[in-house]
Amino acid sequence: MSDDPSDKRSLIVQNANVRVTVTYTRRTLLAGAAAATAVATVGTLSTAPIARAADPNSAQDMTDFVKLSAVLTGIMEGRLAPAADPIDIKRDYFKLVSEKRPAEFDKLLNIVRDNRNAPQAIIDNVQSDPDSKFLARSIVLMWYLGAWYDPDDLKMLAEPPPSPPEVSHRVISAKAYTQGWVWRVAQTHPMGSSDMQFGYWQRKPNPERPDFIGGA
Amino acid sequence: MGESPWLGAAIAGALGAAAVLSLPVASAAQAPSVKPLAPPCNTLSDLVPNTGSELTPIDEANKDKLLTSGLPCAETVHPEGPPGKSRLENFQRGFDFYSWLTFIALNAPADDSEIKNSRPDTRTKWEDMRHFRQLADIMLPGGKAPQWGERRPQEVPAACRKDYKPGMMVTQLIEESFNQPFKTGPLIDQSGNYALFDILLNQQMFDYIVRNKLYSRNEQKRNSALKIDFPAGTNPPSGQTTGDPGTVMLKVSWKVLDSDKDKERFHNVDALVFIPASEDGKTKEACVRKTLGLIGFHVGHKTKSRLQWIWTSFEHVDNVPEQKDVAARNLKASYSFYDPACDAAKCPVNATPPRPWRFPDRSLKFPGGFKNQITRVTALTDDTKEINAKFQNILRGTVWANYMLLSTQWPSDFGCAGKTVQNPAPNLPPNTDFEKQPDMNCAPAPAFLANSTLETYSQGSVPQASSSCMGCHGNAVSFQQRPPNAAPDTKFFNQSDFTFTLEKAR
Repeated sequence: MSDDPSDKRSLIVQNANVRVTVTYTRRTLLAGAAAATAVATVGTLSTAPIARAADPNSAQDMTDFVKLSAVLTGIMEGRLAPAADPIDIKRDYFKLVSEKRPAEFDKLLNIVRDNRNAPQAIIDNVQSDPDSKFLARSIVLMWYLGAWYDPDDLKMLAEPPPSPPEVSHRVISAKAYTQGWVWRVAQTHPMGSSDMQFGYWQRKPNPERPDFIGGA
Repeated sequence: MGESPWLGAAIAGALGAAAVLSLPVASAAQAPSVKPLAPPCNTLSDLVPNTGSELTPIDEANKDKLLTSGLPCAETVHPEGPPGKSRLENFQRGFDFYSWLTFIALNAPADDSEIKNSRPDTRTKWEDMRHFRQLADIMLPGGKAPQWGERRPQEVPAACRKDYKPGMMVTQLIEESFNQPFKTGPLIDQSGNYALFDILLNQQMFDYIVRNKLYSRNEQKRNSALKIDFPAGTNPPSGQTTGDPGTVMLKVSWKVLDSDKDKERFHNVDALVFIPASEDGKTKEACVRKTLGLIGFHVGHKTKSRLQWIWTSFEHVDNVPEQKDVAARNLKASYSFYDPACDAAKCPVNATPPRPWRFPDRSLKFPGGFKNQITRVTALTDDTKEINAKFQNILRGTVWANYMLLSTQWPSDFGCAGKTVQNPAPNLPPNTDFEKQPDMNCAPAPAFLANSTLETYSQGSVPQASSSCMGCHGNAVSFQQRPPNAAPDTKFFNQSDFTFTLEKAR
């Protein structure tokens, strides 16, 4: 793997309303693309009211969470939450966030409820709210890395030095570890777990392939 | 779900005594004609057509139709269903319904009578060599070509010939007949007997193996460009009766039945168990006659829209308790592989037998009196329990009411599951996409599935470690080798299309 500029690729991820282009190398992506994506989602304050506690068994709340996740990660909703979803990692993530940060999570969902058809408005509102933006980063990291980074740690990391040299985290579960999107973006697999085709190592990663994160 | 990764070398000697040195010519015309399992294909589904949500009744009124409807050539499933059910649950119920129809069709009497009249020892369709053949009868010594149809006397291991009667089940022991996938250990019942395992293939699978000479290691190596692609089952177009069941593969598990009472509770066969001579020469080959009771039943079925195959798993209701039943002390008086009276300190749960794990001797007893203490780690879903109760009810009065579906594993990413290769080699059915990524199994549902008698020691939900039919079988390969003159960027695969059986070529 090389960081030679000629090895850079443009990763294109999109859903119905959002198209994001990121130039990356495999090394930079594996090292910190997810964190970089999270850092990109910061800004001003939301005024959305807290309506009620988020409920993982509510179809609407789950739909809103998946929409939020798609906007934050740049990965299509249908990929994060397939129509028939035997893995159902979204539910694990929903429960975790709602247990860890119930008030801020409700705020985030309220932003989605107010802007269901306006992804850019969701991003703008998340970026503008100090309570939400670091939880949003945690959610992005969770989807990409299958690990939980506490929003307070991420906030500290964003502040001027002296900030901690690294933030602590924990892998959420074996299932979450195998479902980290960073692996699919890099067209590889987590150590110790692969469902890729026998002989995949013969093939170079190809950013034009739609089957890892795209719609095909 | 596993036939297990097999070690060909280990069995070469084991089956040596079964070598058929000169086979007489037996034409297909000599075999008695038989009504095929399909077509006509069974296209019943769990939903009444055009209702969207009304479930097909599984009751006395519909009993005769369901019990005689035949083998599905492919699944007929829908995303819709009763209110409150998710798309995933609706599809799962459809696949479970398909599994029950398949189980009934395969276990219907070989003589074409109705399953409702079958006795515990009535010979089933899959035990009839006109419908299925055991793997040991296909992968012959020396890589010789097998022939379809009834077993000829010369093909019976010499030690078994004096007791053999035409049509009799002959289980030829290889390591995988008593040691579970990945050599995780034998399973020993409460009488101290080994559980025994066997694999059978239908004629479509047999024909593909013969057509491509995959019964021979040398031919597999020579035919390295072949992208192994077994025929896929298809239902007929609406209103027609054509269709083809495609490839069907079975793995079954047996327990030795000693009492007449047991014989009433299990489907059973009068079988010969061939035990090869030991490699060190200390033990001679032997053949013992036993009544074997069916305790586990896997079906792998490749269909056109499920190229990762559909994986069905049944087992006997008396095998083991669920873990939660043990915790609640909600137990039957006895199980085949669990002793309710033995505490966990004395009988550790789901522990393997002590090593060494040698071939059984003619007693078929594990040395030292060990008995397994097995529980089911993953409980059946409420939906599966419900469909089991309904089918068991219409099978009441037969031994088949004592069997339950554990689940059906199917590829849930439909866009992925039906993808086909775009540039097929000439003269090959281009059914399989060999570059499916990143998940060649197309999101199996449920993610894990284990039979307490066939994947005893790999139950659970740990990714890449716990039993998943597709997760395991997707790794199956053949003896094909990259052609020496292949260009460096040539895509080469020696996958064997979700079956480990080709590793048994000789």
